Amino acid sequence: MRKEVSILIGKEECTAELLVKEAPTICQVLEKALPLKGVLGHGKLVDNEVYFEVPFFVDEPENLKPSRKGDLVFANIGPTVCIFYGDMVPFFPLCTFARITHNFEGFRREAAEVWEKPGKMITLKAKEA
Amino acid sequence: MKDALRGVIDSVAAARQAIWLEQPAELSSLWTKKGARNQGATTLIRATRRLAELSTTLHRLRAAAKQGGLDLATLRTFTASFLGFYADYFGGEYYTMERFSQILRRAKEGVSDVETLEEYLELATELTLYTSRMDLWVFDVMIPWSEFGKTFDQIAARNVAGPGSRT
Repeated sequence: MRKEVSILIGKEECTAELLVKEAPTICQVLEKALPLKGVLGHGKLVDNEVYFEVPFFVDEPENLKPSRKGDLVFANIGPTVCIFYGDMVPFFPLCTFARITHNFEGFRREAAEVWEKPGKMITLKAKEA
Repeated sequence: MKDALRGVIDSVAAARQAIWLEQPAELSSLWTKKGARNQGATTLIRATRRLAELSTTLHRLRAAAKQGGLDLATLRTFTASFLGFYADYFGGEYYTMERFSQILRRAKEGVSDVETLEEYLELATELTLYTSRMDLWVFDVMIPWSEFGKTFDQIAARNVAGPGSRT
């Protein structure tokens, strides 16, 4: 069964599908932590990336892949959830646990503003069926 | 777990929750603290550098504790010394981050009550989350990367003139 989360960023609401087969532990831990609210920072070395700290660790890596736009990844250093909103050159493979499946353009617009004005809030919550 | 240690861990968790979404008031002074030549940029950059050291080292200590097999006495001694250094650094007359310093000092005292690696792990986990959050307020939100980046590029362009030369 497909599992999804809602992402609220600025005025936009987006949907991401959790990759429960590929990253089962990260998805499970994240789901238990929902709703998650955080303060967005912008990537400093990798472009078109925003991230926020989360209050949990997942120590065993899962689904390590070079990131693509639309990916949600977990980085145990931080620990943070990072979301890529455009093309970029990934730094190293990260634990990919979800992908934006709805309203990517809205996410991109809001995320792009974070470079000039960091500190925008983001919320991840369970998506109602 | 000793009650005193539980109290310390809970106080670190509470301090972290208090700054999770709200920028800590004690950081506002970083805008006005002056460094060399009466400018303030180095104050912010130095703060984030030290905060990053603190949170990254705690992160690695946490990872090492999780791996197991470490000498707890050595871990306690190192961690207490380490926390004390940063408590003094941020709580001193320059940064005056009293609340942050107080939490680190309390954690330093709490380390002496740690009796198992599992207890150490729990303390290190909360400290990592707290110090990382504090760092990200400075690193992500306060430092004006967009403007810095543009100014830096102008300076870099002047300096890129081939090896051994400076324009």
